[in-house]
Amino acid sequence: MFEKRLIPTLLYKDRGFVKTIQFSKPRYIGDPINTLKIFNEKEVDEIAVLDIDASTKNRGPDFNFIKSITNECFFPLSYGGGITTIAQIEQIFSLGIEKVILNSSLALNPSLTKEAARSFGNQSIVASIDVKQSLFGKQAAYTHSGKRKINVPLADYVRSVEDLGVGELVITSINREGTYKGYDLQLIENVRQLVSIPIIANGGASNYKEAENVFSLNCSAAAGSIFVYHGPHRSVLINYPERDQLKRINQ
Amino acid sequence: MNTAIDTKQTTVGVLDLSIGNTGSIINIIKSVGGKAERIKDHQHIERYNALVLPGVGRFDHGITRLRNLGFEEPLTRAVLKNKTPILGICLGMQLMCNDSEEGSCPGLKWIDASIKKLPREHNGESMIIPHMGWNRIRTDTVQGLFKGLDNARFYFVHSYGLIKPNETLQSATTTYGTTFISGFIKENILAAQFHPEKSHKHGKLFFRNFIDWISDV
Repeated sequence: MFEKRLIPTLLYKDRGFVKTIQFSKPRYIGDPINTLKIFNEKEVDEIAVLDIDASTKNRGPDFNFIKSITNECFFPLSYGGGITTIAQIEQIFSLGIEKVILNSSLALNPSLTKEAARSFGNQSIVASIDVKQSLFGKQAAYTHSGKRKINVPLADYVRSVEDLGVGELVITSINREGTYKGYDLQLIENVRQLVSIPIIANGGASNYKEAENVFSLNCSAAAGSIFVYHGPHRSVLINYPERDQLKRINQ
Repeated sequence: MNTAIDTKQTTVGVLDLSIGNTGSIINIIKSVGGKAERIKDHQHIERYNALVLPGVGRFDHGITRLRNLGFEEPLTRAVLKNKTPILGICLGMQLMCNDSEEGSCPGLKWIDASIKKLPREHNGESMIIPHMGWNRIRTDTVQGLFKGLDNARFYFVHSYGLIKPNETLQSATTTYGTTFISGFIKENILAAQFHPEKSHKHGKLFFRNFIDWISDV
């Protein structure tokens, strides 16, 4: 029986994993290797690791970091952050990463995505679109960790990204991210109408049970940083549901 | 004096064509007590008494890489003539077949089958392609590669698959709308459509079975 996935999203910054709120105020939550070891033990479905500084600091992926984490993981790992060339993508795959996530380069260099999907197969290439809603309710896509606005209607941008041949689309609500206010279901529903590829909802979940909300909108996966959070005494806790709990969400 | 290389060590050679995650496979084999090394030079193929052919990506890209690196001939010789056990994973499994709807190049033709696109619709239900995520395999085989793995869950990422072979294969199947072959055994040729190296404990058991099997043959 095919199962929908819960995907912890781990944000990498300054050699550690951090949590952010609406893409700002990063707070350190843990050491990458130890964090991933724990997820390994909990038999996580899949994890996305995003280097949130790479594009804004104009640098490429940290290959030493990537190599260090893939050794720990016997589960699918996706990586995103600062990818601008085919050679980088090839190296990332050879290190054991399952899928690469492209965000800023979707807008800056669409032909990179096209070529990557053509060379490596669309199932290995994930597009990530971050959406911010203005005070007046207008939604737009942003790149570079929410700093640069895409001046194209959101629906057109989403469709054009699908046309590049990506295999999956991550939709992140910047407004909801880190707020525990729940996924932006309206946004997810709107995007679901626009594309036919698998969608991963991200941003805002307060509880992994909210995954049910996006699964019922026909998302293939629910993502977020909810699985790692601050406990009392500034300790960091990892919470990932047991297999039988996941089964119930899947129904 | 002959610095003898024992060419029949129980070390698994994992073909590195830069089209798969060789590192992950080597890691997981080590984690279950086996030994594995990368093969970058086609002349080294004959040193190994077990091989793994991984693969991620497009059919034509993969088969062209394999040919351009000079792997086809020594590999075919090892597999069909010397009967060296070989495990094909994901695209690696598909390359062993005649051809694929995904591309126009011929495959290795070790298995009489064509790889087809997974249907976007099944009995009125529309399927999201690629088939990406965790799914279960079903198998009647109680020995060898699939021992203990009936109904085990594995990670799948693919848009094309082996739906109907032209020959009989000892196989495992998976259903995603359509039911397709998710793994098979044909003498010394083994294959998995899923990624056992990314499938946690069942993946480890799968590789443990593989190691045990190759030390028996």
